[in-house]
Amino acid sequence: MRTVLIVIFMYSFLGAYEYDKLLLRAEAYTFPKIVIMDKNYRQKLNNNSIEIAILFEPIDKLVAIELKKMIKDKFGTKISTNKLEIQLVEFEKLDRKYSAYIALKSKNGILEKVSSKSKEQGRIMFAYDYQDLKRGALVSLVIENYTSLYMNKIEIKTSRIDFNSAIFSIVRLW
Amino acid sequence: MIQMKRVLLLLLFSVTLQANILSELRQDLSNISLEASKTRQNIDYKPYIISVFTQKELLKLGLRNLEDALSLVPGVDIAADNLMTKTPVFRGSNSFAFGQSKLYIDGVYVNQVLFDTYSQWLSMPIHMIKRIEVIRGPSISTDTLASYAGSVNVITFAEDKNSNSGFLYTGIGSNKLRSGGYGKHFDLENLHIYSDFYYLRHEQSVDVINDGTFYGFAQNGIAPLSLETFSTSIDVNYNDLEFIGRYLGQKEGVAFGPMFLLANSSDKINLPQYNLELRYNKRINEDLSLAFKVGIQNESYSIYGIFAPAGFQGEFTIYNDGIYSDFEVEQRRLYHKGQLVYSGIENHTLKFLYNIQNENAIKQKTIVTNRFTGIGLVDYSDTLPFFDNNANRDSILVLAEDEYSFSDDLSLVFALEYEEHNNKHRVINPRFSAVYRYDWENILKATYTSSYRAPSWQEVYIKNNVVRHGNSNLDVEDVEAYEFSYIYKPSLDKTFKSSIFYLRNGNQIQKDNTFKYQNLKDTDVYGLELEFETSITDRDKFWITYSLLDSDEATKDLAYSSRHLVKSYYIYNFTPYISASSTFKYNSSKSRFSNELREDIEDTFIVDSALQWRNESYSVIFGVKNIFDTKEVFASEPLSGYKKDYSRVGRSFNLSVRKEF
Repeated sequence: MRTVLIVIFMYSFLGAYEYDKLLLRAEAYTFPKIVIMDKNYRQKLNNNSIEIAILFEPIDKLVAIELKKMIKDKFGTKISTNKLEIQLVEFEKLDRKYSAYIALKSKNGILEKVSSKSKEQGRIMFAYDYQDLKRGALVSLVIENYTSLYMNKIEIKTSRIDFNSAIFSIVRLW
Repeated sequence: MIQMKRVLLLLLFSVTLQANILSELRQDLSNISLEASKTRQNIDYKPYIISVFTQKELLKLGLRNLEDALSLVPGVDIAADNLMTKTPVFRGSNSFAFGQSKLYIDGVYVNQVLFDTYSQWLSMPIHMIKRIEVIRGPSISTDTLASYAGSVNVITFAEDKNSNSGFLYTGIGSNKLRSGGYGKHFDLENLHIYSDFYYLRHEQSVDVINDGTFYGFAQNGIAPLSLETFSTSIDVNYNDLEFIGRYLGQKEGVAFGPMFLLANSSDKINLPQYNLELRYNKRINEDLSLAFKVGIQNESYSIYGIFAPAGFQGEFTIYNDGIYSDFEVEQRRLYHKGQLVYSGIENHTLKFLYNIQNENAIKQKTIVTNRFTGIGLVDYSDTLPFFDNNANRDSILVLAEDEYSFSDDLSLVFALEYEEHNNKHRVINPRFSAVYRYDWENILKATYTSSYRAPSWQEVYIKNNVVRHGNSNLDVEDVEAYEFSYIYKPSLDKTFKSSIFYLRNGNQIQKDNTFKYQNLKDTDVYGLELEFETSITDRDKFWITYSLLDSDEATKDLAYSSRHLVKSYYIYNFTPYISASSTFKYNSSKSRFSNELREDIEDTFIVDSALQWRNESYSVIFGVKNIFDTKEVFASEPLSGYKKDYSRVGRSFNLSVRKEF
């Protein structure tokens, strides 16, 4: 019995918040394109590639893998003329610079930290959950009556990201 | 100079690239919006009060079939008659009437013509269903025909048009439950085919003990609730054309007997039905699309066996060997429907729809024990048929709708519907609704709808029957609904929904003291529905709903409806692969009609539980229904032979295994 409880306890660390598949797919299709709407995105390439890190808690590893697959299925290895690389990185293990970040759900305090880092680096922090705009993420997507991209207007003003102004015709500011 | 040219070229390239990306993004967002609307993932912003359940969560809850799923819908209760013909009752609206809600399977309307119910589909296994969408309250829209109290759309895996996947499942359970089925996609260039099949049987029955006497006969024995059903469908897509065919074969026990007297446990009701529908969808340009459908539904209802025991005193004679009957009626619905959607006027989406339909009795057989001598069987199909041979209904429906986006946050819908039956019943139904998104977290909706229900065929055409008398002079039931809804969404995993409604029901149809259907009641019903879902930890889901109903009937009672309904479930995911769940349902007591002496129906509290293991390919689900074996009944009609109502089956187990490929 004790063994069963221990196994259940250990497995419970692998449990996961239920992610919305359509929302994940919508983000997989749109977020990489927004990277290119940064006028200076070429300066943020890693080894001539747009390298996007999907940031996740260990509990969400399967979701991160699924999101990576969705992006790969949509874009393959290239986005327009640029190479595209997707990396899976645990929040706690983020130790280098990427072209942009997509944050899945995270524990309290972590997103604020990595968002501040990405801001210093002049990189875009995308968030799965629009509520994470309140925690420093720059861009998220919301499926409402119409599907809308949201940008954190305070973070845009203070970040070093210079978006092509045309993008503001399709995003809503929060 | 060369350097400058390079810079200019790079700049030009960059501008062109970003313009293209922007255009793609617009298209992506538009496609996602369309998909979200189609799959009801943005229901909170739509001008209806809708509940959506996905197969994933229903399987985790261990629910077996469509009936189980509908019993989770806020404000919905399930009612049944003596033959266990079941119907979901929305917001306490006329518990003894059928046809107040409509069922669509993959958009095909499948209510039976005879009873205007979809009882025969309620046993459809959850394994076959991708998603269930339930509109609570009356509606008129281009997606559904006018519905009086609610409409249910069952979406199967036929929806996944680009898939090549499939599944198999098999299940066993209490009362000799055996079930199995499959679904499979075949994707070939322009051609896509989806086919599915399921088979299910069980041998449920309940004991009837000392339930008084009816026509002098003691009600002691067994009510057979057995069921054997199978269904198969095919969905073929070729470019703009789609063909959907579905066949259902069903045999069920005669339950509490056709004449409110217990019958033989081997007697059966046969309910075969098929639906064929051909669709043509054409997008002419970005602003204009057309859709046409033609279809046929053919169904029959037959019942053979003993209707009354030996010694039954009839109008003209004593039936020394009892009354044997062999009844059959077959009817057909033919229809065509056209729809035009135009979005070329800024901020407006205009929709126009027509539906022309004919329902017709094509066969009727009435063979019964000689009504005058009580000896031998006589064919009364021409002289004293149990169903009007001339039953026929022509219907025309025209609908115009404008969805106006006043701003990004406010959308308005205006609709007007006209419908006519047999040049007799003419109804005009307006609808108005507004959805206001105050911000991310707060959404408000207000709706006014006028709708109606045409009498079902049994209410009009059944004749020469002891317990059901049709009435060709029946008027339509009408309803006016005022609904207000407030939704609070503080995060992706937390939602609070509240709705208040006021329904003015007119001309509601019930049987009078002679078992004849009459427009007897005007009932104003009002109430509220609260719904809350959240994750308490990062690996669970908790959902609860409370519905309150009340009425201003003279008696101040909403007869045969629970005033308070509470439904809740909790799912805990131990791992991505293992979950456990519990479901709770509370129905408060139900009062009777004011002229009845029977005691109220007691309140019930039912608990179900389930355990699921799954990986990428397989899932195993074990469920227990009604863990505490709580006594549950379906209300019997005031004049039926069952004073203690119709008992339901108690605790049961089920186990199923599913393979995805």
